Amino acid sequence: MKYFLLIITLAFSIQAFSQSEPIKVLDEKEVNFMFNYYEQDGNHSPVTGGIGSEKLECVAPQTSINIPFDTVHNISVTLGIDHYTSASCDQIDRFITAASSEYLSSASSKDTRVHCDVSYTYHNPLSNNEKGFMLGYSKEFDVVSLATGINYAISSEDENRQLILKASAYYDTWKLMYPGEIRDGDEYRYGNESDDYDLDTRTTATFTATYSQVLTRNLQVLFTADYVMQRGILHSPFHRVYFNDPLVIIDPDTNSTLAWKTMRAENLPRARNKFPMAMRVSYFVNDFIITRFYYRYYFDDFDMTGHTFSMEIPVKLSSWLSVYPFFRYHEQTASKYFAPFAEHPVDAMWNPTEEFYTSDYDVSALTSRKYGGGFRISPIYGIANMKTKNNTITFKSLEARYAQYNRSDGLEAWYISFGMSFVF
Amino acid sequence: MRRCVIYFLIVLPLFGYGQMKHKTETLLLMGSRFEITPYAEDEKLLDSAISIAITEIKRVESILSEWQENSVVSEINKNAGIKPVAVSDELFGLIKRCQKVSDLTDGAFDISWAASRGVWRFDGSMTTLPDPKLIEEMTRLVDYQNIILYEETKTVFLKEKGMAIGLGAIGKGYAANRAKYVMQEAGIENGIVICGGDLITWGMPEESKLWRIGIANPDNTSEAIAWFEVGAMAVVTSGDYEKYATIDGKRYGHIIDPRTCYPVEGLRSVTIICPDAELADALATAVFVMGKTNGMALINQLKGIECMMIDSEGNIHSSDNLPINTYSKNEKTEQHYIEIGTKKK
Repeated sequence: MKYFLLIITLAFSIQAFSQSEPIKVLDEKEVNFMFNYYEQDGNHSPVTGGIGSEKLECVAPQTSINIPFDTVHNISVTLGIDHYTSASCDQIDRFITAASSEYLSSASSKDTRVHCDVSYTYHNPLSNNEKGFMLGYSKEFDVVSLATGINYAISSEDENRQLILKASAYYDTWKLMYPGEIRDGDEYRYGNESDDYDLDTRTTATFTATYSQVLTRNLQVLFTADYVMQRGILHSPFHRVYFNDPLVIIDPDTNSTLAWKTMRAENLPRARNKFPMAMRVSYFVNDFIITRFYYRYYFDDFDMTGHTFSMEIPVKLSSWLSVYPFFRYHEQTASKYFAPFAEHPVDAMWNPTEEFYTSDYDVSALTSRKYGGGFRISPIYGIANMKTKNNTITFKSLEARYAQYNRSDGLEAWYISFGMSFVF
Repeated sequence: MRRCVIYFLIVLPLFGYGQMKHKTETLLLMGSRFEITPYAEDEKLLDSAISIAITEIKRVESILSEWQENSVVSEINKNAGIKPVAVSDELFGLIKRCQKVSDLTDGAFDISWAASRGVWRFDGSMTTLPDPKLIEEMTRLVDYQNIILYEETKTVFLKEKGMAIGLGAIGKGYAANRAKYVMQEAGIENGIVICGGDLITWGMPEESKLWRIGIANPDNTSEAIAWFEVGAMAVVTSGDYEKYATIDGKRYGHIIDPRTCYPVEGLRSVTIICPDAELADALATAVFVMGKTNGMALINQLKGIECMMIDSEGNIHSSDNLPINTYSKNEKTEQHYIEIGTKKK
């Protein structure tokens, strides 16, 4: 009996604390308050303007409140650290003269690039446009890069069409590290300290316009065109170019001298204009399969033209798992300054007859194929949740991707990437 | 009690071939920003409609204003505890309707709150709580049941000396109703009138379209936190932002509970949606004072009236017949990538 009373007392006390006043229950007349708000006899009085109950009979509001979840201001920060080994960097110092032999270049065979981008966008949910800007910074052993950009997006009222305009500028400062054998400390400086190297800069400006439209429920298209303008140093100072004089090259593996061939560091013009334009089509075959096609045409004033075609087919296997195989084909013509090893001409005095020359196969005529696949695990409520004091952090998705890349000049590469995303 | 709310109205764009034109006139009336926007196919009607509306709003102001020395309301207040004052049918009806809302809300809405004006100041000059004795005196004077209305003579009597009535808040809803009415009589079948936190629409902005209304974010009134679409409806928002007093480290909003003469806590914004602007106005204040639980319980029982609230934690609640769609375009996401493999530099 004692406990029973105690429980009842507790129950009542809890009830008393939960609200300061009891909730009023309305009677029938009060429930229709709005319709009885105006006096019956005051209905048609001119001073109330006939806004009595007969006009209020029109409907109760039938609507719903829409709350856009997202913040109006969006800031995204990307930090990256890339650690890479590069066989080619190892070779920069391969040939060092006696004079420079005691200096070890900081261009080692492995290095780390750190980069950071911050982007801010502002989107008023009641308007159709979004504005933003971006700042970026990247540093690796021979280049420090600063980036900035602005973007503006405008959507149609029904959000089926969107136009995005972007402009960005990049300012790179290159530390000029020349191949070991031409470093002379004078025209081609070198050393252990940073300022032992000469610097050069490159400015890049990019203007992009993208138009996307949802054509039907299953079909979306996107067109994009860019103009990229580059000024400044466009070649890599540590790339070697060998010429067609009949002298013989050193065997790189045994390092034994067979004969000498004229060699220069790569040299390219200090201005370049590029024009990529691309189209993307997404076709939703059914609720589980999407096909994405991409085609890009590229040309520039180094006489390079290229076509890129890629296809990706995301397949949704279940509500939380999707896989996507992909394939990419690319072909390009050679830049007018490219020639393979030992084909650039020299004159009788062993001076190059061309002003600009490169043997970098990235700008040669080639075709490449990349294929691979990935999967993505993304359950509706996330893979795992963790509640903190104010918020819940959700481990939203996990993805992995593998790609194999083959190029007609013999280059082969592969990569695996993992991605995890968290939402809070 | 002032409401500092800004509404966003999305007027669906009417391009060249659209039939209806509209014109907006913005002006300061009754101490608030009025935006009058009639819609009509005949452009000539718009200007005359606007001036008719402005004339009417000014007329309403002259009746209701307690600032103007010789207004009827000032007359009533001057004669508190002395004698009844005769008023027009129009004003009598308005005060009577206010009393009805006071009955419904058990005094949460009370036009006799004006007696306590000045006890709380929200301009930053108040540093200590008011004298409890003053508050006690105020709770005695603020009581709608001491507003006596005589039907036969159409007179109003404030029973106690020191009582005062203030119609400024509900007056905006009434003025909006009247502006809409006179424009309708002038042939305008579609339009919208916004005054401060009060809004009334009629007709449609465009062929078979609805009016899109946004509710201001209490933390940043130039942003909308939510939006909805309505036909002919009144939407009134009562907000407790911007004006407040900080005393002993605690923040006191500017909306006072007439029953305790103390500022209310718990809500930051209340929006009432129903066909009549005057009623929406009164209920917005009442529900704000009644608080989250009791206020929402009242609205849920009232037919034809819906409500949306934002509480002091920033959570959004709505009445039973007003569903909420939250949709997300981007949440805050963090992505981490690891890439392994040979990559040409």
